Amino acid sequence: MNTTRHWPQRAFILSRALSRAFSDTPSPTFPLKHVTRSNFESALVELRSHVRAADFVAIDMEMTGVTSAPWRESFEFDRFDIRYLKVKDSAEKFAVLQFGVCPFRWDSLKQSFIAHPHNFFVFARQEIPLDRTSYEFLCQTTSMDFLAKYQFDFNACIHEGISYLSRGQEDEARKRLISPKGDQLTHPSHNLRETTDLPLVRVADVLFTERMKKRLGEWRDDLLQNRVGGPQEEKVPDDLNQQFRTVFFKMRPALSLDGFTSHQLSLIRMEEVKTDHQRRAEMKINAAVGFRHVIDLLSSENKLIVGHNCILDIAHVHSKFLAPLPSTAEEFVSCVNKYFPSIIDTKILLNADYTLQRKMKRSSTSLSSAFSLLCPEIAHGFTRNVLSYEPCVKVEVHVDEMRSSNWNSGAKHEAGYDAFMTGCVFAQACSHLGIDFQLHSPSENLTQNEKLQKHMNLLYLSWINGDIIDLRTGNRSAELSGSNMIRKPYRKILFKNILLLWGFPSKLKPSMIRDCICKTLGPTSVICTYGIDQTAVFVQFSKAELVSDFLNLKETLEQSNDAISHLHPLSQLLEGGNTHAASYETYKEICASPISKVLFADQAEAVGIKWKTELLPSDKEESHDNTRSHLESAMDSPQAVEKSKSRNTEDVVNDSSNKRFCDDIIDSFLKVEKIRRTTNL
Amino acid sequence: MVALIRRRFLGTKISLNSHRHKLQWSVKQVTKSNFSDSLQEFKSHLSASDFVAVSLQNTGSFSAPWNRVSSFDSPETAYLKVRRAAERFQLLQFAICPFTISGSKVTAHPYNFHLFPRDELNIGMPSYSFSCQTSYLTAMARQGFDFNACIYDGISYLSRAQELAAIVRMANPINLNYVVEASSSPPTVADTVFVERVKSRIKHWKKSCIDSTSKKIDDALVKSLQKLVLGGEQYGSRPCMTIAVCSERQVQLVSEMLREFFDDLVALKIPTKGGGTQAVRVVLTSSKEDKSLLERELQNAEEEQNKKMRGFREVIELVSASQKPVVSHNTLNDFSVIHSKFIAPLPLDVNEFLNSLQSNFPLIFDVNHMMKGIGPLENVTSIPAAVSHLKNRFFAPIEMELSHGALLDESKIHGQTVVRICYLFAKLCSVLKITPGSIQSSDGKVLDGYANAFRSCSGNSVESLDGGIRIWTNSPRKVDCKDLVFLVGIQEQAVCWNA
Repeated sequence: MNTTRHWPQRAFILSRALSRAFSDTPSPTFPLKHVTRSNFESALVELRSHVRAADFVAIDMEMTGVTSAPWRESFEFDRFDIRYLKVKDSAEKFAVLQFGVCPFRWDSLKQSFIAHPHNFFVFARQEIPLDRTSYEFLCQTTSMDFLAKYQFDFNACIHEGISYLSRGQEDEARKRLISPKGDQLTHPSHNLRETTDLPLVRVADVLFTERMKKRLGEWRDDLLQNRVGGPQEEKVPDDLNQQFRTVFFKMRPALSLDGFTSHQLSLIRMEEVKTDHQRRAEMKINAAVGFRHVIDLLSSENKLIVGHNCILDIAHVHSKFLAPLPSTAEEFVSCVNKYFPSIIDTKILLNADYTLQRKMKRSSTSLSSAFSLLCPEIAHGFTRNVLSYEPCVKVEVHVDEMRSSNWNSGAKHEAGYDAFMTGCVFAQACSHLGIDFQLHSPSENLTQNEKLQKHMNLLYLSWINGDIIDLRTGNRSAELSGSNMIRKPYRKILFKNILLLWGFPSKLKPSMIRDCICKTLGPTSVICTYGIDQTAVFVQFSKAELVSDFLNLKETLEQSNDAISHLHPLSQLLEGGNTHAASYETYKEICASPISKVLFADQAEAVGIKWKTELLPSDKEESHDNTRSHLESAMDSPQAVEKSKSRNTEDVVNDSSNKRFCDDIIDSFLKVEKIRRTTNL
Repeated sequence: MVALIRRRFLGTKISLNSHRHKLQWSVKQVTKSNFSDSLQEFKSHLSASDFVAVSLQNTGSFSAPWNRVSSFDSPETAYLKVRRAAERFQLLQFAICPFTISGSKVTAHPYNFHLFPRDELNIGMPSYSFSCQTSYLTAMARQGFDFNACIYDGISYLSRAQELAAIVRMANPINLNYVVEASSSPPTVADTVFVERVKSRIKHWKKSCIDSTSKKIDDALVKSLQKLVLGGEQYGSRPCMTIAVCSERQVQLVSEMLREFFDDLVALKIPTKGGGTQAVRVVLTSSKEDKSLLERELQNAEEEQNKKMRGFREVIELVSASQKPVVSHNTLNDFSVIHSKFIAPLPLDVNEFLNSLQSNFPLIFDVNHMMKGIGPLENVTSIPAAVSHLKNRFFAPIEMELSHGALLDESKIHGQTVVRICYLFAKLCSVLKITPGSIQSSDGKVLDGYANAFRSCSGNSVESLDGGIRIWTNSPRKVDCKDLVFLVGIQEQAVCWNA
């Protein structure tokens, strides 16, 4: 090896070490900025200016869980729409505990990025009682345990977390404020509540109230002017002045009213109380919006948002802060695109570009491994491979008054730190893509950079098989073949050929089910079987007709009860009489349900599937109609629930001791309640 | 490490200023670290006491107003509502207090166990997920609840039903002597052939094992080579051999044959993941003493495993085995949770539930229900309200003596409710002129009117199993279910016209 080439590098390392030893930074391991209820307002003001100046903002979240049941995990056999349903279910059920926001700004003088990692503790409290239903969220035991392993501070979150209202909830709260029942929000004292209910019937009353409203308004404006300007001018006629006297009511200026009849007084009070309470409620709502101010800030500043494998994060943002998640992925992406016009997923970036793939040495693209490979200086405090010296994008971290150019809090799986890592990975990836920040002027917008355009607004709907969704168009595409060598080649799955089986005897393994079906429908009929959980399995047939063949065969076997059907090879599968079979569409219906039972077979029952074999349209018309109506009752539309409910009440009247129907009622009412809640939002 | 400590800088200091209760007792707080010690202590306290009071802290109860148990509910509906809540929410604290009443003196030993359903065995149990109600968590936070302590150091558990499933799933080897009973049917030809073949195989293997050990080979290399050549397996430090079996019948045959011909072998059953038997492993011991040593080792290992699986359930098992009367404030809620988390999933039928409960806890007292013995007190539902009500109306001084002394350390504040239940129960006994001593002697005849009556909510009790329900909490009028109409979908404004 050439020694002359060696030397400068060693000198470089030495100088780095020296500079670190004598650096004026107080400590490279100060914690990141934690934001709770107590310092939220001041932190928000600071964050506002940081975001405004930023080139991009990295985000990350910690949730209470990911999947509400084992069968809701991501499978190879999930169709595009089902993947979205699974993301939706997760975002709707689990809560966000931490929200990391890290604005990055390029400082051309320092030739480095300035990062401001923020770690927000979030906890949705019911600060404004919108309806009488309580907030509820799910916790996945393993996720909570995982967070505990990384010393997550649950106390900080629940005791001190910042609450929030979604846009929908805020609108609802405002609507209640304007409506005559707005006093619900404001809890006036008892005697006043009675007067507020006084109806304005007489013309004289209406005129009087209007006049008083005007007078009170004038009085208030005068007082407010008074606070700013000089003494108030005497404009008020004497007789009215006798009736209005400015006094002080609990340290606030108030009017003392004389010479009105009690009826007039109650009318005046009503107006006064109303306007006052309206203002106070307004302030209360603004405070209750809480953490959503941060989301609104990110949206209104139109900055480039950077996340790592962030579809679930974005779905959480949508469901918690914007509106309930729509039922299809297309609606979801169009809504997201409206609020956040430019999002970049670093996982997409790392997998899509060949130079980055080479840099990553084809190792895992998980956030921590990408961070330590692409940003070794920040991750470990030194360049790992001395020989291949490459320019590293420098990142200086500012937390309040403290700053450091080699900061590492080491707190992995803390949202603020993960957001920081994501931002560093993105900055380094940009530099590898040939984006030179030194030439880059502050006015130039990263969102317009043509080198990033082809990666912009693409998210992995499911990382498992590289399904990518375009946020601008809603188009989906498979990952470019060959872009990632680790992955096995993309296999096209025909969902029409897939049969769903559940409730079979628990001793049967997927391979045994395959053998069992092959014995009946031919050795080449089944391509593969795939276990969903211990109670359910997918069977992929070689032809779509085989699905309906199987369903018909099952139906006839179950109806006839002779000796031959018991000797049939399928009887092993049908043993126990609880085996259900259906086409792929039923799987979608089951996934769309808001219920989550741990076992798939229980879920199917809870969703309301009462038939055992779903017959496909090409078959007998009559039984088909029958299944359809069952399917409808299984669907979670209000009408369907209405239908099943009326049926259930009849049943109860007939046989009030039937526990199963009691349970059904509870479940179906629960659905109604859910729907009511989501439509209210 | 510095960074990790730093991470907890925020919420770890929990202010307890919000505590305004006058009665403050010290309650022993139990987490993972001091569980086994506390269990021993609890055991002795339990056996010395006459009653056990319990109080539970859950992550929620009713999601919506209509989920709440109301006075319109029939016992079945009330049970179904409670069942739903018990399955949905998680138990985070279990306060339990063995106590004795002698005259006006109550001797109590309060414990507060912190629980978390950690998946210790990696089998998705005790629970995959659970719901939390925000209002419950914020209320707990206001009382200074330490969520970190609970999630980091909470004790896990498995219910009885889950333990059975876990044993099958874990597939640990089991000592055959405990499992297999003697066969009843006469052996077939195939059986005899199988037994003879296994016998000769074992004889041969045993001989080679004994030969090799008696030769005293010092060279380690030769030893290990010999091991390779002989294909000998090892179970710990002892040689062993695996015999493949294909049915439970063969397991039986092997075990009988071993008992008959070999007294220095220990047989272990190797189960499959599905619950069947895969093979029998035979372990050679050097002497009688060595054999009993191995058997003891195996038994200890099994107990250790069971203990790990049961976790906190050990406490419930102790209470259940002691058959001591259990006192609670809201029995239907509390015992549906206890049943679903520690015994088995809740049955659909309320009577089935009551039967199952009865067999585990023969005597259950509901202080709330006992309050009714004093008179119609529809508004006195909370414990502090009940205590102050009794204080104002009756003279019944109760002296409390606690094993852990007065409250000195603020962290010992959780689980105070359980002591209040003891106190209230003693006061009620005194007011109702019940001598607690007679409860044991006459097998609960004295308190019979109060035992096992499940109060579901104010105004309605499940004891009225005649299908009628009471309407309007302040009138004793009973209405038959048939005469009620269910109205759903009424506009919000229209609800309370004439209330």
